[in-house]
Amino acid sequence: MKEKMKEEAWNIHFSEFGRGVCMYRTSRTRDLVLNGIPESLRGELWMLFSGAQNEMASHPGYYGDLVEAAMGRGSVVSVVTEEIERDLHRSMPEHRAFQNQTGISALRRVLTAYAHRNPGIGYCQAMNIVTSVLLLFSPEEEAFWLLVALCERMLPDYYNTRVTGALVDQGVFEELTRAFLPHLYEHMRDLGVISTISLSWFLTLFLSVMPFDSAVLLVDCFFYEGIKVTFQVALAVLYDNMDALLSCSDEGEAMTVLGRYLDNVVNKQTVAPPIPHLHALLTSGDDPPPEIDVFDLIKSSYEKFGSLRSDVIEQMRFKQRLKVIQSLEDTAKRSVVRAMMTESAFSIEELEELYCLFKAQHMASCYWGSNCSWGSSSSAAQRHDPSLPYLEQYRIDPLQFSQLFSSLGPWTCGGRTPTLSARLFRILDQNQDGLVNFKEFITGLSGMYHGDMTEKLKLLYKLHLPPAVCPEEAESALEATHFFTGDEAQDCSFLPAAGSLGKQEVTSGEEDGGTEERKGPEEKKDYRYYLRMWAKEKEPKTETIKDLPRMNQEQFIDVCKTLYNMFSEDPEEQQLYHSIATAASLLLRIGEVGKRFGNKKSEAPSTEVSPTQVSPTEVSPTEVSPSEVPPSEVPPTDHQGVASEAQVCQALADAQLESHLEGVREDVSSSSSISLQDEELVLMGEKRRGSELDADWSISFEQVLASLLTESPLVHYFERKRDIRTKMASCKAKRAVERQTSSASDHDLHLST
Amino acid sequence: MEAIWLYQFRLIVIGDSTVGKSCLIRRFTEGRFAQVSDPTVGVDFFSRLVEIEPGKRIKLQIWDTAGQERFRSITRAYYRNSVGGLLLFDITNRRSFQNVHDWLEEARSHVQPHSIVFLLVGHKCDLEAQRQVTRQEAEKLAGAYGMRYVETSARDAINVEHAFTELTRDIFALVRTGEITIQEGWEGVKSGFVPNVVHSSEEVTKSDRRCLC
Repeated sequence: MKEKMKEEAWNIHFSEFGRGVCMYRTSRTRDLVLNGIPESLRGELWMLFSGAQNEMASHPGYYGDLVEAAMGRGSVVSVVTEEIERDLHRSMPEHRAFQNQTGISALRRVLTAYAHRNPGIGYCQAMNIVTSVLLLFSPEEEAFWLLVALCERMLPDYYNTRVTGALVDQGVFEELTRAFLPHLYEHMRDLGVISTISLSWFLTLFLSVMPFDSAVLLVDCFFYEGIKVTFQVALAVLYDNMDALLSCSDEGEAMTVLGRYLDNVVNKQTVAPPIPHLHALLTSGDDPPPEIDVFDLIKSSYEKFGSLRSDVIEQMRFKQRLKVIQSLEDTAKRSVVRAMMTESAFSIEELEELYCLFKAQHMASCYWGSNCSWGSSSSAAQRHDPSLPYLEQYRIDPLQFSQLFSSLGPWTCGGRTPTLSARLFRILDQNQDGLVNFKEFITGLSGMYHGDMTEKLKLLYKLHLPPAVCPEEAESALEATHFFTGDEAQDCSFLPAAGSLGKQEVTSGEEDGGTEERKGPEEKKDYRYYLRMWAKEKEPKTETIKDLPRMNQEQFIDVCKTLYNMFSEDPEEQQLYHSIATAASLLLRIGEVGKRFGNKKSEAPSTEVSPTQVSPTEVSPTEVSPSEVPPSEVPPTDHQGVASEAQVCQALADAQLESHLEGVREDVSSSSSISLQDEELVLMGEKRRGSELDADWSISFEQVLASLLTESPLVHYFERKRDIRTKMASCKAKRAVERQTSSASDHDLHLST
Repeated sequence: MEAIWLYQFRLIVIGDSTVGKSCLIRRFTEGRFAQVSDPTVGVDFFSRLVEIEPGKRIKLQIWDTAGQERFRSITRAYYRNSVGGLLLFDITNRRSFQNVHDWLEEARSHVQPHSIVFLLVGHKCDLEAQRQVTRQEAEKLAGAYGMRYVETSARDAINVEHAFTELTRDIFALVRTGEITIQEGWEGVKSGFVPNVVHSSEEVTKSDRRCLC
């Protein structure tokens, strides 16, 4: 029969030109391929033409080991195995081979093994269809190597997580249509149809759109000639339907025309009983259109479009690849920016630029690996999963966040910047995975830039309470300080304080579990969650300032230190220092009075808390060592008040010392508003560390807010509108410089670690 | 030759992989259930006429989409030109129900400036014994999002006609009240030519090529 004749012809070819890897390829070889490879030789020749044979020979035992490793995970159900499992019964289901466990298991093993080999692809729908066809003609191991050849060489990037390669070839196909069928191209472009139709043609090599016996012939040609044949045939299909397509008025009609045509491409030489094609099976044709002989289609594709050359296609791919990647990135950016528009007060342009900076921060670590020496558990490259929703695609770790925070944030706090950054990171990282996405990043940034004084103070207040402040802070602050300054002297003045701070927070962390930021590890959310979220969306935000927990003395002193640092480079520095000193001492007394109310309510019936009510009679000067109290700053109050106030003054002095040392480099004269000499400051700083803090003392956010509102320089400072644009511009400029130098310094870094 | 239709609505069918999108559409457009099928690669297309009132026919263009995440960049392009959508989940697969929210978000962010009338469909309701999502909770969720909820089975042909017809009626009502309008450069709703019905001259010229019946 026909099949026997084909085999005979191949045998003659083998005897003349050799068989296996040493076979000569002649013009006769192509003719034989175009006539259809006989089933008995199909597997062998596919292996030969694709080069899979060489790979298999050079990796003996590889597949077996891979299967064992991949399937050995057995009980671990990953997304990939789940996706594969779902499609096993939807791969050539019309073929007997895949209607029993033998075929299904082989398919499962090959796909799972491949996903294990190449996590960058994992499993993509369409691979199941192609692989099932490979399995029909080759043993399992060969089918695996054929799949490797397809995914990694012959159809580059087709099946990756954004099907980039298929999109690239779709673009190439459009270009080719324009070159070969210009008239049709115009019309098709208006309908926007080429992109719709061609994806399945390329991803499944026509296997999902044509009857199997016909499509498999195209696979023969593909293994021999490469992607060129697929383009040729695709063009020939359009050419054959030219008239019908030109009269279509929308893409739906065009889809129908082409679908019907492809359903009726038949192979009349087929040996096996015809396998009914799924589409043909289901598409009820009122007037069955004429059948098309697949051999005629192949022949005409060579006649009309055979001039297409592989190297030209390769060149076109380069051009398209840039376009595709660019448009994927643009879509991502647009979608993210649009989503964030409603959530922040930044303009579109600002958001777009911030997105680019954020992405660059993420990408920089992919390329330069700057984070690997900082003990980060996952590299940025691993962290980027393009299959995730856009907002989640790029995420940054605390260190990267810290860099952006210090260059883009409006609150620069000298030596305290890394500490604040780490705390803000913890507030923003809602799911506590150690990474912050763009949305979370913008939420934080917007909080600092926009909103009124209350909003900004609220954020500042939160930054000095758990969970922003955490037990490990001391260590991360150490790391960050080293990273940012590399300045030993400064570390000395800063770190011990942070260390004692850390201890304090271990205990205080217990007392408030109720703050909004604290959330358990993120599980798959049920619909109830969304109903709640949805209900929440409808009402205005309800978190009031009363929800904020009270603050203890240590935390309050910490706030003051932060404020001092924030003000240190401000033009209004002097007034701001004075204002905060006034407000802080007022608050200290308020906290003191509040404590007394808490303990002996009967003694103080008045509800109004004001510093004038604090009795000065209990002052006992012996309790306070003169050197601890800056003379000009502490008015006499009750003795506990004096003690704690002294501590605050020390703290403030500490803070100022830090900011002072910071400032020394630029301007020595700019710092001291509290009239103390540097030596005294240092002295006080040392003493403070040994002193006890008052445990019962506490104040509320409302009290802090009220006191700060009485000082107009502070109000002015927090209400002032700040522009992020200059920061973004300098950040970009800095990045450009870094790019030039960082590869060298990165090298040094590696040598030193 | 085209059958006479009053309007053409473009619908999109979305939902997780293997919830039965293609099967439901095929049951509706071809009247049969495919025991075997392959996964949709990219997008697929179907169409059918429905009669919502005697003599009033609507042509439905139905776009079937791949459920796998990595095809989103392709399927996304189809939201913009759709006026209606069926959002499917599988009542025997709780995960597919949990993802309903994500699908809505995805659609919402890509359909602007237009909007899509969605119908929530709990599919495979013939598999009552394996049910993982109760009708009550699905109805509640649909209510929360302002959608209708229908349970269907392509295998047993339960509610398939009903689902598509109801959605078509809802859209038709919105078109009538003027809440949805035909717009140049938007394919969601197109007007057809119907004898004895007054149309604006623009609509007639736009669509007369197909209507020389």
